[in-house]
Amino acid sequence: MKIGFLVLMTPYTYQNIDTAIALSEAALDKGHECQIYLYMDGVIAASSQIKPGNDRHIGDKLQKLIARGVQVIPCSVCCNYRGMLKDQTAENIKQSGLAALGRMVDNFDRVITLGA
Amino acid sequence: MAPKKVAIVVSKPPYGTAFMGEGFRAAMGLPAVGLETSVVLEGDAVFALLKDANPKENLDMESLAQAFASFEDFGFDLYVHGPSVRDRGLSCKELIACQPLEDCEFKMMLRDQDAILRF
Repeated sequence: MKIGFLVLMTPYTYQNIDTAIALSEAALDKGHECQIYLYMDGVIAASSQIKPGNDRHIGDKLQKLIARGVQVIPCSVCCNYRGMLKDQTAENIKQSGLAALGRMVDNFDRVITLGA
Repeated sequence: MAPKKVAIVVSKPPYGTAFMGEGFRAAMGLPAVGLETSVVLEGDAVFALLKDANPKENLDMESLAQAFASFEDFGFDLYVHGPSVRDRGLSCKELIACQPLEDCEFKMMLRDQDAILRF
C-alpha cells in the first residue's frame, strides 16, 4: 500500500512530524511505500538549520527515511512565507508546489492529515 | 478511469490561524491536477463566508468570503454544514455562497471520497 502523510504543524512544538516519521518507519517495515508532504509550518522540519542540541534530531530521522525511499516534499509557497530559502532546505529534499500534494492524493492509497 | 474525489474539510474559524487560508489554497491547487475537489466548511469555519465581514479594513487580511465566491472558477465544489450555520444563529442569506449539507448528507459525502484533508 502507498501511504501519504500531510503534516501541517511545526516540529518540536507539535508532535505531527514525529508521528509521521514513526508511522512511516512502521509502514516501511511492513513493506509499504510512504511519502510526506510538509505544508504550512510543517515545512520547518525540512530545514537544514535544525540544531536541537541533545533532543531528538528530526532532520536526521527524515534523512534515514529518505534513504529508505521516502520522498519528503515541503510546499514551496509555505517555505517562502516562512523565509526558508531553497539553499536552507536539507539535502535530498526539494521544495515543490501544491501539484505535488495533488499527485500524492491521486497516486496514493491513503492520505493521513496530521494537524493541530 | 474516474478522477479521484478529495474533500477538504475546514473546521477552524477564519483569520485567527492560517488553516482556512491554506485549506482554500489547497482547494485551488488540487483541481489543477485532475482531482474532483470539494470543500466543506463546518463549525466556526462557516464564518468565512459572511457577506458583511471586512477583514481588509479591520485586520489587513484579504477577504476569504470574496476568495470563496470564485470557487466555481477554481474548479471545486463548496458546501457548508447546515447545522453549523444554524447553531451560530446564521442563515444562508448572510453567506456569500451556501450549499448546505445536513448531517446524514455530510456523512454520505465523506464516505464517497477517496481522500479527506482536514484543516
